[in-house]
Amino acid sequence: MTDQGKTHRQPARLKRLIQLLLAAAFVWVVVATVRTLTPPAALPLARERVASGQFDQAAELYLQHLASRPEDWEVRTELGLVLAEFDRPRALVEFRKVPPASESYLEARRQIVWICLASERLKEAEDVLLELIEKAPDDFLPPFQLAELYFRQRRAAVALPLAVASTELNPDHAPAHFLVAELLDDLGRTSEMITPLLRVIDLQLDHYAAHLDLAYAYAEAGQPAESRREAEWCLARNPRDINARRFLAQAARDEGQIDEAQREITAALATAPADLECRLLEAELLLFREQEAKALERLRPLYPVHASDRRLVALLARAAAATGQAEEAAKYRQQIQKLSE
Amino acid sequence: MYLRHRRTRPAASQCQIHGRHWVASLTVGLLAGGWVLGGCSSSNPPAQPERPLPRNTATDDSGGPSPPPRGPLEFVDVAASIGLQFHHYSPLTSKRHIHLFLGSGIGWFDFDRDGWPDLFCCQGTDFGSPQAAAGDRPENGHADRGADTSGKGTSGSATPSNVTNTLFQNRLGNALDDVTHLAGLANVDYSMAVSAADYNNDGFSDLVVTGYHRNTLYRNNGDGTFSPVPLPQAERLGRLSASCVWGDFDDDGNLDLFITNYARLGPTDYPTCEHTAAGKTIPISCHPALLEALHDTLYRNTGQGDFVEASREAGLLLGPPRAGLGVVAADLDQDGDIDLYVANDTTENHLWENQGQGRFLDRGAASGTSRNRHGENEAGMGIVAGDLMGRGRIDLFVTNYYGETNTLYRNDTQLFFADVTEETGLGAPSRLRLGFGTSLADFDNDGWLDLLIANGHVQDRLPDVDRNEPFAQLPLVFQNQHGVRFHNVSDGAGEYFRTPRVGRSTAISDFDRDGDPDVAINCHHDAAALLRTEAGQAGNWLRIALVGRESNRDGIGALVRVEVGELTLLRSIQAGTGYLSCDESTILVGLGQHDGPCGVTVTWPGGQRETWTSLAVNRPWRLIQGSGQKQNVPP
Repeated sequence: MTDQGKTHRQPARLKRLIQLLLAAAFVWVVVATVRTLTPPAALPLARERVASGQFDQAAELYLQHLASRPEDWEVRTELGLVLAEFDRPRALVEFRKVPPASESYLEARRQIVWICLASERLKEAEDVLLELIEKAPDDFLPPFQLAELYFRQRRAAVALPLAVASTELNPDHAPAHFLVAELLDDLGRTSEMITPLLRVIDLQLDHYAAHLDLAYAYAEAGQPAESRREAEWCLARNPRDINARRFLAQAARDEGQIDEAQREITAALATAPADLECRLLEAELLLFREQEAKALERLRPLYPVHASDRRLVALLARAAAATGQAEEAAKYRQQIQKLSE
Repeated sequence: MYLRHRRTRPAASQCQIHGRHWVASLTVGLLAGGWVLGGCSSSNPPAQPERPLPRNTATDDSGGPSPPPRGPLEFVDVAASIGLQFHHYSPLTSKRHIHLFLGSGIGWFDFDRDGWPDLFCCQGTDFGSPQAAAGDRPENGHADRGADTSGKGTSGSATPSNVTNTLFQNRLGNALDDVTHLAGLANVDYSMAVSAADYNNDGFSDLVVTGYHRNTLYRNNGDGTFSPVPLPQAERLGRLSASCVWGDFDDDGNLDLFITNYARLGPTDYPTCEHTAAGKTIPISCHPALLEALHDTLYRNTGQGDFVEASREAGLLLGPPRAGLGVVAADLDQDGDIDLYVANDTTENHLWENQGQGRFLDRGAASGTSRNRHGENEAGMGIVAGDLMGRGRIDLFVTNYYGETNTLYRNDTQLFFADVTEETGLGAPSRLRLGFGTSLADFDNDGWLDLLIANGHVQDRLPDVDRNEPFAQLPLVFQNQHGVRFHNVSDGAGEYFRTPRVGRSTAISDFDRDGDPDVAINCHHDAAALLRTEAGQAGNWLRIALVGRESNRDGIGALVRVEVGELTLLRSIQAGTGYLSCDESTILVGLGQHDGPCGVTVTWPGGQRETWTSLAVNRPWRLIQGSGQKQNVPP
């Protein structure tokens, strides 16, 4: 090999290198052109649209994706969620398509529950919840939702064990404890509301409704001092809450502070003059003080509206009898009898 | 529910918020590369430290490191030391037959006229129906709970032969001796109530005992023995009678007899019930609405030593029958005749106004005593009648079911009553108790009648279905604060008031004659108690026994007014009170610090008034009708 030979071969190598570079450039241009000319895949786009709140466009993109992959159940579940934002019936259709064998099945069923509850399709909600309770026994939400559904249907006895089970599965879920308290009230087990309500307050210190319910529950349990404490807590935050003020009046009465009770109930009535519960307590205090005529005068206007309220009628009968209104008293007693039958 | 306010429903809304706002979660989840769907727990705030629960006054036994407080009223159970060895025997069956829950009565009366009140304890027995014979035996668990330490009862077996009503003779206030067999009072029935009075005016107190299937009248022979006396329809298979009272309802000078009847519980068709909750089914005692209630019974004393049934002529059969339990007889409207007030279980209470000659009209609704202030029926158990408010009228106090309050009806005259339970402080402490026996007595001799209540449920298995309603409950005692307020002083009233029991009947007597009233208590399937009042700073007193000559000999039904300075204390003589029980007919009147001579006016049954003056305090007195005589009598 000579130096002259070497010199001769160098241009050839350079040429091959240039050819390779040109080929690579061509491939790059082709690929780039193809990428530019081909539309992007639907799924990522759909998700981008969801993030920017364009749900209808997102739904169309999901459908494009599912046209080629109809058994992509995960994506169908996403579609259902998007549809639920603006077209619940269609969302329901998509969720129902998810088969039991799919990994997304339970999630789809959960979403069916939300939609059914929101759209009052209660029978389907109940069926799906029962299924979820069976298939996802560690999930605290289905028993809670079913308990709440039964609570709305005034089926407290059936609901209570479900709500209790939910609290056991997730002891930190305040709404379930609150629901237990509500159900106990419906079942007439008012004093037992105290424990779950205290738990609610443990979890959510400023849970107003729980404090108000506690004032009520303590009163029913014969603990006026505790009832007073809770009523005062509520009134410190909402001085115009007539329920809280009535509980305070009742606590004062039960503690023998009759003057204070009368002051508080008068204050409550200044806010809500037609409130039946306050009027009843006012009348009881008047009757205790043997001011029967005054009680009768205050109660009479309520009768046309609340003639089926036995408490009112009983107080009217007592006031009428004590003031010598024998006929009127007899009328009220007959009404009580009728209400008792 | 009365006080239920209109609540928002945060439970529902909180969780639905998560469902409706899932997109926010979805977006975040997608960016993070995963799903976050639904679920309420993610937004829960961290749990706060455990907040101490309030004391459960219904079940708390007050056990704690600090010594219990001493209250203004104190009692010590002296049953064991004084020889009161009585154990009520009422083992429950697996089907929870209701009469086995209701307990039995207890009563004080001086059967031997030695001046010392003797004690009669009514006894239960096994349920001896065909069901029992067929194998529905008592449950060991329950029988064991009240296992008899004196050998009277054994669990899970037939009734021991020595389980019987028991008469204890009071030996000078130092001992109680069982003289049942000597007196001829042993029996094998399931006994409910007892009431003592001298129905034949021979000077010796006789006895009526009601029960399941049979009511028995015993005449006191005056020699320490008793003989059964035929009573019309005394035996009726399946009838469960309850409380009984004596009173001269037709004002003929002879004591008549009124018996409440609860229900017909036929041995072969005895209703039994179950309750399903929390996925469990338990047997329970039946609600009274599921039982066949019976009319109450009035027996008229002919004055010839026998009785005729007079319920129909008396007007008691008008209206539907109701499940009667407690009854009191007193001149509620002070018109000279004896009225009746009956506590009915879950139905309206009866107030039988005596129209004269023993004809009655139910004035329950008109008087405001058939229901509570809210127009609701309550499950009435025991009753006491007395001047609780210090206004010279007979008020009524009724014990009721768990979740209800006991109810105090203030007598506003003219046979109108006002429910003043809450205002007087008697409502709150009773809400989480099921009241049965109740007694009125001035335990501290301050001139105001105090109240004692025995509590205990009629369902023993509610905790099995997650119901926080205990079978055994604490008794209550209230100090009367001048008729305005009843102060719950149970916490400081002694060990007995800190131990839950299945309380039933209570009866009052100053058994040791130390000048303050004591209480005997018969609990369900448990040992009886004798609570001696430890009133260290008690006031002065008068003990008054009436001797009727035109009226019945015991002066049953008389109203006694004692002048104490400017105050007039009203007391009434009754034979049958509380629940299934009777107090000693001699009355003890507390006088506070008044130590001068007292004047006493007696309104005898029929309305005749008679006044005695200058009765020295802290002495027993016998006042004889129509003679102006007062005798200072031992002990």
